[in-house]
Amino acid sequence: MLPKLLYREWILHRQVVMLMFAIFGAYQIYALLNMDSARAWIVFAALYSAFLTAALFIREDKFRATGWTCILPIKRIELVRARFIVSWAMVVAALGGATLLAVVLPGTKFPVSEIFNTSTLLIVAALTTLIFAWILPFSIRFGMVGIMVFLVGAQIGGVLLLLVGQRMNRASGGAGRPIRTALAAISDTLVSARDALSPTLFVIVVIVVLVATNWLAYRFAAFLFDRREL
Amino acid sequence: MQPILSVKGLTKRFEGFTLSNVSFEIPPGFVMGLVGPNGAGKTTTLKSVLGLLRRDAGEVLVSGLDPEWDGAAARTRIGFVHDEPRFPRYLTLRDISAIISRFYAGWNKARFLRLMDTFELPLRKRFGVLSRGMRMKFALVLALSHDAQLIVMDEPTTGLDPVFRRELLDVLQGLLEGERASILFSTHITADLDRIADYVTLLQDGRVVFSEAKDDILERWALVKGARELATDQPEHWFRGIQVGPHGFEAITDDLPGVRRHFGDAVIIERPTLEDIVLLTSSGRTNA
Repeated sequence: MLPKLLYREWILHRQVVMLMFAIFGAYQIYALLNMDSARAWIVFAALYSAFLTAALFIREDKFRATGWTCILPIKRIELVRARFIVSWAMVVAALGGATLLAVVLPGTKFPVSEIFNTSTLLIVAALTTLIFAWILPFSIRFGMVGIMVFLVGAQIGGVLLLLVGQRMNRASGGAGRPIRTALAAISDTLVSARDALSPTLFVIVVIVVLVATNWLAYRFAAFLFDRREL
Repeated sequence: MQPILSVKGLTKRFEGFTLSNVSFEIPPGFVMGLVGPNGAGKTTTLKSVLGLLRRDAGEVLVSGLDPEWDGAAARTRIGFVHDEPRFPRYLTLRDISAIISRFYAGWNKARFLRLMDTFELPLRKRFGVLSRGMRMKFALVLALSHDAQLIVMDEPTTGLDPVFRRELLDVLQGLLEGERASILFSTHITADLDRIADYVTLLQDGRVVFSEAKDDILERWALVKGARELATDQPEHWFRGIQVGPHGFEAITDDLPGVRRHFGDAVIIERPTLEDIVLLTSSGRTNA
């Protein structure tokens, strides 16, 4: 069933995927020639490519493709699985293409070893997982409205976080920066975990956590989509 | 013989509307017309048959399979024609059929191409440039190309001009001759049912008024006309719907012997059309 659904995604979105990848490529060329940090570049590329998938869901909604697809002899969970696979495939393809550009483009400042660094790749995988875990279940369940709610919610959440941070900073007489402190605490916890485990074991644990997060998001999306009345 | 479609006590609640205790069956090879005014619950019933809605009570079986729990297996046996086929406008008919054909093990490519040819539908054309009638024909070709046992059509003739509507019904009738497929056909145009339906289910406000063979309905129900004064004599006791005008009343009944006994020769009794039954039962009691 999966190849049939992937074929469907390809026929439905092939033109816009090509266009998006062309724009993404142009942006990457600009970024490669102007950015100084390989890690910052690949993280931005990952963020950009993760949000490219939102365009596909908006198109699904616009052309009401979900409705007629659910009339076909498929299980809804299979459609959700195809969406997750397509989303990850797009990120991997986009980052693969971006890395290829970094290798072949004359004038780039990043050695490939800096991009194919374990910690950089884990950061990219973690960020993508977080975005997908948030955006996919709600966009699959609520369509374009889900994406809008996610984006508006993220903005409001960010503003609230900054306001709370400022308030706490003022309350402490400017002695501390709570957001930075919280981020540092997360970072310290990860570093301590890495130091406590062997480097290999740490990587395995992180990968297991990321796979589990993706699996939970997938099951949650399937649960929500199963309840969607078309 | 096991019915192709069996609906028993189907209930679905929405805010402001409830589809309540809907039951009917379609034997293999017959056409069931699902008729009723807008908002009667026809589309909700069809969506439940397709497994697109979660019902609150009752049972739906398509060839013995419940579409809510065995959705994929049940939908393999169903060909669906939407009231307004909703494929992406930018895809060609070849693209759409390439996607859809992959999902059906019983896809009959030769039949698909033959029907496309019969309907003069070019594979290279984009869906968006087709007229409404052509879109409907294309949806019908897709529904008929995978050996479906049940063709479900949601108001396929709504919005079509009369000539095209008649042509579509003729084509449908011709295509089904000698076929084992059954059809569930929702419409509010009763003339369509006069032409092709074997059974009729009338829905009003989410409830079944009747569900039986069309000939039995036309035999059992009667159109009653009489003087205005007679209409004041407990009409709801005799009639399922009545319209009272300045010169008399027109009513519909499914209790012809009772009406004959009560009114005798004071009223005129005529054989109704399906339209008479639908219009008068949906009017309840009205004064013109």
